[in-house]
Amino acid sequence: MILLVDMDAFFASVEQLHHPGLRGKPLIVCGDPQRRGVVTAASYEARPFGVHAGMPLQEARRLCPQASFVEGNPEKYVALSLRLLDLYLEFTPDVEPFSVDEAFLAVSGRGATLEGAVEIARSIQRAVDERLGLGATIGVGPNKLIAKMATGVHKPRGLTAMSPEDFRRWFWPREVRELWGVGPKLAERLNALGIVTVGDLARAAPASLEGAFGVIGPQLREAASGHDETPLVPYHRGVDPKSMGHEVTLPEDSDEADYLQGTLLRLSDQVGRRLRSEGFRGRVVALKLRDRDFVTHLRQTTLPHFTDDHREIFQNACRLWRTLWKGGEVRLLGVTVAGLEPAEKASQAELFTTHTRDGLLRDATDRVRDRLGESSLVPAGALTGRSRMSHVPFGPLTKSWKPPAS
Amino acid sequence: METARILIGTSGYSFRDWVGPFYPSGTRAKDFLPYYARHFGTVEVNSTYYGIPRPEVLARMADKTPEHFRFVVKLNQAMTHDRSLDSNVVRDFQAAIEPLKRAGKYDGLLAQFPWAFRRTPENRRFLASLRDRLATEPLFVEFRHDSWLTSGLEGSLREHGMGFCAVDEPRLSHLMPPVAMVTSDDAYVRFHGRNEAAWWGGGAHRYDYDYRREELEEWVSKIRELADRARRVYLFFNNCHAGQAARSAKLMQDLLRQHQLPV
Repeated sequence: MILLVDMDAFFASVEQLHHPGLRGKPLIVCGDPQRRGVVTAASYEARPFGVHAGMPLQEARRLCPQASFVEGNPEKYVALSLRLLDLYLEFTPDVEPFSVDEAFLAVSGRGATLEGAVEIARSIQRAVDERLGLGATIGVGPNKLIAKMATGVHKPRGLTAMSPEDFRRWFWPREVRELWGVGPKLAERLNALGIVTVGDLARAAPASLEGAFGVIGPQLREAASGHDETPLVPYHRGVDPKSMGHEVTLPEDSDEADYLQGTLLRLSDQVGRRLRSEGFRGRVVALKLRDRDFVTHLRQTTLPHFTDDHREIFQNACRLWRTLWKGGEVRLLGVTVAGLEPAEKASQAELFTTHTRDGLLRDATDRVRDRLGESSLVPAGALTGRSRMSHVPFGPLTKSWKPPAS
Repeated sequence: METARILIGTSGYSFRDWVGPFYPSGTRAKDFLPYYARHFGTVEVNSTYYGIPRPEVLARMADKTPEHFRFVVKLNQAMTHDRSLDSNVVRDFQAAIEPLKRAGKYDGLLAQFPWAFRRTPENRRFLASLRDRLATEPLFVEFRHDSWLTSGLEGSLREHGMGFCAVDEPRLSHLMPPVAMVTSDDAYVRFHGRNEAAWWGGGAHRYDYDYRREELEEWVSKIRELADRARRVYLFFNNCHAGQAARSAKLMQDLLRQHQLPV
């Protein structure tokens, strides 16, 4: 069975955990509270006032003036997210992080039945609460789709298990936009075809769906029936990974070269750091670019040697970007390094420490970041459009950052 | 009585469900340890993993055991699972074990890392800093993930003065296989049982397993080899359900005596 563990109001709950005075009260996590911006996360206490993520701060202030506004601290969330992954790995070796506050788990043995998987889910909820003081909602199902959608049925601290029959009984009468992967625009187009509920979609003629939506048409129909064969990809399976990458959907489509390049630098930096922390080097750099029409372009290049250096990754990503980008609006960017090999194969590093001279500076940088957080050191170019860089996961800048003296 | 070269004990001794199977019925918790110490010469203290006790707790344990009884103490989960070397944690931990040292009954620390602790540069650095922070302590390290099993492991542990903790556990994918080696003065083996079906899933039955004699026999030649090369060999049973660990430990004692090993 598959579990989706979804942390309840994760950012807000973490802040309440660290500020006991704010527990049980409306709390809104945002960027700099002094400036205009949007709500990053709202605690459950703030939600009855109509406050939700993505809402302009001014509106949130008007709806819920008594709320505490707290500046988000991504390092804290990432650190806790990693602790959660470690905790899940006590229950199963097959864990796939889905976002900073969600992870898919595959459970076998007694977890092979819905009832057994529910017992495991209950133990996980208890462990998350006892050890980290946080609430989690878990959806259980035979595949990722059903597990994911089951988490939405009852929150917070919910536990919902669904067989395919349960899925159909619960979701078929509901609006089609409740189906995972159907956004408001897609829902409108479906509605225009007379497809109003999830059940309508499941019963629609495959040919007409394909005509209207192309290849994703039949996939949508399968999803509406509760079918999903997407494999779970354990990040921790012990076998060496084949590639490591980061990608990000921009908060707004952009055609500004500086902004896009700055994003590439941040992504390259993150990939480089991850390679170094996991002990890999790669010789293929790949760039992914999705334009505003959802068309995805991929291009890759092979280097003459293995690297884990962000500058080299960035230079190559930029080269690819120049050949791929025609000046149009970009929706998503991703940088991946593939063709990986354990770093020590090349350098024969000893067990606990690596002393390669050219790696010393990067090691030092990584250590500073381990101690002080991602934002303590960033490559200078990534400062372009600093205030707008917070869309890159795992390490946006915070106001504690100060420019280097030189 | 001289200290035996092979010391056999269990991982923890204070379990209610051992009353009956091991402790005579009616035995009260405060009397567990004196009774235990009549059967075994060593114990691996596991309660320190869950919480760091006040120094009086281990002082009382030292008082309840005979002169030659030995303790190995498991590091707190903050150090091995949260990977925190917070100086308050380290200081409190060292204060907690101080009475055992004063009583001359302290043989070192066990760092048991979770399966999630793979061999990555970050984790290797952590291990090196853990060694630095506990520079004067005998330190045994148990890995659950098999990524650590490289050709360089033995030499590196030896170089850093860390004892390898061998394990007997289910033969599941990417779990540590039953490899034994001596990397410090003393050798160390932990027996977790072989309950494959319950290992994952987080239930209470991961360590619910009763060793058969022939399963323990697989270890005899390895233990003989360890005993030839090490000063002392510690064997701890962690299959703690309903006194099974004590039963397995007894079985191992018999077995090694039969093979004329110095138990």
